[in-house]
Amino acid sequence: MKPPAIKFFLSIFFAFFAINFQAQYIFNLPLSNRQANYIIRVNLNTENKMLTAVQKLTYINQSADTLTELQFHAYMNAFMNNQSTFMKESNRPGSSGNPEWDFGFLKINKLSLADSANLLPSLTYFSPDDNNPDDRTVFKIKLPGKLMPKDSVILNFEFEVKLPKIIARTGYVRDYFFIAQWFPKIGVYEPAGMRYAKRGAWNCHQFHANSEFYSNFGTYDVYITLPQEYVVGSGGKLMDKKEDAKGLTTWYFRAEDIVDFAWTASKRFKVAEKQWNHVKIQLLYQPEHKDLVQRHFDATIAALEYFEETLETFPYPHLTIVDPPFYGMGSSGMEYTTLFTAGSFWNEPEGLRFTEMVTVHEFGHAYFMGMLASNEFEEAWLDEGFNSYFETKILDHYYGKNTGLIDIAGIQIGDFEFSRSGYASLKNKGMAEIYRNAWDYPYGGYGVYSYQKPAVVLQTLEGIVGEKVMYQILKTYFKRWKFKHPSTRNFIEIAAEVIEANSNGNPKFDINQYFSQTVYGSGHMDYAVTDISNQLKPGAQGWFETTGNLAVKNEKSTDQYESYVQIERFGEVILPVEVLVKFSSGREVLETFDSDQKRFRLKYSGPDRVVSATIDPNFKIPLDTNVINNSYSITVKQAAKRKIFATFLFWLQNFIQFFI
Amino acid sequence: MNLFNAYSQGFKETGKNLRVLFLLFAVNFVLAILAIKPLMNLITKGFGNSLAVTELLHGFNYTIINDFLSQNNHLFTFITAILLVIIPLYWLLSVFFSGGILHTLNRNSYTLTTFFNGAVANFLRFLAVSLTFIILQVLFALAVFGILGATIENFFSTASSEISIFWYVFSFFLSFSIISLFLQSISDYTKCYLMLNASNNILKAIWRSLVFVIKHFLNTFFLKLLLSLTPLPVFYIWYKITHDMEGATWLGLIVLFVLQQIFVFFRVYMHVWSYASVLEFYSHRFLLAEFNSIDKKSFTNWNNAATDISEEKKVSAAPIQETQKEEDVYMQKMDEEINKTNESKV
Ligand SMILES: [Zn+2]
Repeated sequence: MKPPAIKFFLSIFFAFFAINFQAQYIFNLPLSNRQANYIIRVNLNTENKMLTAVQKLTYINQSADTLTELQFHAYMNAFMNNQSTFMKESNRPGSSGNPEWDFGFLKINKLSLADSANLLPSLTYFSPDDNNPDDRTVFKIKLPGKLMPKDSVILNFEFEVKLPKIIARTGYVRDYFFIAQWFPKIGVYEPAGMRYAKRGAWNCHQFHANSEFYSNFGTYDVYITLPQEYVVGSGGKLMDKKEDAKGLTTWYFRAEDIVDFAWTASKRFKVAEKQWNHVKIQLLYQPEHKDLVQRHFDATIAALEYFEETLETFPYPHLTIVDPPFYGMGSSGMEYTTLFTAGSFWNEPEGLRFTEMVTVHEFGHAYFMGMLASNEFEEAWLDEGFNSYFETKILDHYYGKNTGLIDIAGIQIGDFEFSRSGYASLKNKGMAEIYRNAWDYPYGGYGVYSYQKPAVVLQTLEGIVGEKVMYQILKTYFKRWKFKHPSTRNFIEIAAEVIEANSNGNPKFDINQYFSQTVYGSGHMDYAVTDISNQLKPGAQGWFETTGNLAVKNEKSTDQYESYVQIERFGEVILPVEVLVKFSSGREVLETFDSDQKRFRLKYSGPDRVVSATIDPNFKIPLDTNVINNSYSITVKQAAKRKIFATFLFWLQNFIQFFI
Repeated sequence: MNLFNAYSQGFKETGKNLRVLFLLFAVNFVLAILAIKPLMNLITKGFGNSLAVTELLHGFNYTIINDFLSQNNHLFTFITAILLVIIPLYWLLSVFFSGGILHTLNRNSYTLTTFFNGAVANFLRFLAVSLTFIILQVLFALAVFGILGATIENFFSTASSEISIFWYVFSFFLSFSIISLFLQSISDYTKCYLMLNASNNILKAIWRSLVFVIKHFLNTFFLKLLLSLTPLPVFYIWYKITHDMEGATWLGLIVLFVLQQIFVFFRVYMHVWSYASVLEFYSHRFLLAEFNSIDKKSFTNWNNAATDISEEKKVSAAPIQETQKEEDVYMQKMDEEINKTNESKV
């Protein structure tokens, strides 16, 4: 950093703390423990793509431990060079030939306590997850004294950020800026008893290819200064906006009870607003996406309503949706509690609900990464998995069970169907288990095991316990753990408690076994009906003793059938499943099959034959990865095959005609 | 003769060629059946005794299709293999048939004997033409999409929105479509030329057809365009009629099947119609052009027409001795013919 820059820096630093800001609050009572509170004043230089900032962090030690060290995320350094853990894990090609502009960094120039004790010499970068010496995404500082329980410490930072070309949802492209992972953010100190901690320790992971969040709740007062032609949006509520004589505008945002703060700026943004109950929804959209504005609002309101009904009302009075330009698509589909980026494209047909899908999904994160704020690094499924489950519920509820995602030209795909197919069509379904560190999944596994399979596992749980009980579980989990960083174990305990309360003394479903198979285990589930047999019961033939004498009998076959339905289990997962057995007389029997045997026969005798049997006839157990073998009929309807034949024939005839 | 006359006249002429139409349809049908049979065996085996297959009667079911395909992932390889065999085979047959189609239309003799005579007589020259134009299409495709590929990244980095990218990519597809239609047009007229002249001089034929197509660009291009676009509204109507049909009952299935096959028959009809219209347009224009340029050498082949034309509208390809007298007769007949056409147009 050059001397004139330091001068400028210091001037804004002192000016900043000299101003006596008028205190304005969003909530009368805090929603969270507000452990880490930030005041940041940042300048965006839109020409050289640099941020210069001063930050005041007030951190409260809410544990019973005495702290001598603090740990921080410096996630912008994930994009510093191609040797960072993020870059190595994500197999990125690196620079397109212009490393100076492609890569970015966070550089802390000054770090001091409120009493101006310089802490910079004690700042050490380290890599707790992989010991990568080239990774600078986590650092620690030694405190000169002790931070006692319930005491707070004020840290003053001066830092600069060189923004990378948009990567992993942060950076710039042309005059579009999406600024995330940009400030030194304190890690989470987990005292003994919190989640799995046996003794107090910092939980501060490096930035990985597949996870972003585990942070404290707090408040953010952020002052963003940049050229006045830029439109700015953020995860905060706009409290004030001032223009100066130099053509710069300062936007003041405040956010409360969130875990991270991101913002965006672009000259091209158009602004649309919509009020839903107490929530003011702001959409920053591209001019060419004007026709899609209503679709963003409709999807967001659908999600707001659904979450209100099933978990709790969205508490924040403001919500910002960012619709990135096509060249900034690298920032689409990202969540920040009260701000999220969607993603849409010009003339997107209504039957393709990608805009709705991404909108509902990213909004949903407000409840999981946002308010529950579980540890995404170690238990990604608690965020992405739960959110994917809700995403599929909402889309299929509002846009049709089998048309939630796609309904165009005769092709219909429900959002849940689509999620399930990602897991069900996997060749090696057992390559990982859901419960795993996000950076430890095998290549390509993160999406399946932290999004898709969890959605199927939760949907299957709903199928087993019923929708009412399921929502009771989810509601209890949310109400009890919001703003408290729950773990998988916390969720399972609540599920067990709610199921127990609803069991009415009946033999109950073993929830622990369910999760040990589906979340902690990697086995798959596949039940099949493999045979149906109907034999006429033979008449008595041979010597029979009646009243002390032996007499010969030679009866003809009876008109009674001895029938069986053979059920086989091809997967490792054992679950109770329903079997619908149909008889030639039209009689139907719905059985629950609950056995750990690999092969089992359901036996019947009577005057009518078994004609078909179907496992899980109401598709309550979508975890079963093959629905084709779930049913068996002794008379397969030929019409269906003939229709497939005719359709295939027709398309082949047309296809070959095309080439002449 | 303009493109609309050629278009409507081609339709009428095709209607007379019923035997050939049914033969072509039968070949398409039988070939597709042969190809689909082993595929159906695989599908039948894949579903086994499952009831899942009946779900498909009621329409698209993604879960069933997904699970079926992931359990039977060799199906794609199999379908690809089938297509790799059937497409070249059908293409080769259609090259063979195209000689027959043009011959029957030219002779106004819609018998299978005429058809096969024409098919055999023209097969090799048509094969050479078809291969030449396939190579040309590929070369042009490589050129057009090569330019697109080489420039798209740069265009991406400067485009202000996806709209301009859409139009940019679209313009390349449009350009290729225009080039492709243009090439197909030349190919069609080359076939006409070769058939009418019983010539094997492919290069000359292509050259003359190129000149012909350029000279009558509006008519030739838009005739080809019109013929290429005709199936679209027909397919739309067909789709509207059939897309709610479940085919769950025997009767429903039969109705659906018949409607499907009617559409395929229409596609075959369209194929012949396309040749008929082109030939219709060509016969008139080409003959007129021949007279104007007094190209004696190529004229030779046409003289037979002088005797034919009084009974038949068009000319035959059999060459006879050149005499000035016959030219006069022929010219006179042609003039009458052209006048007749012009009158009917009024
Ligand atoms: Zn997500």
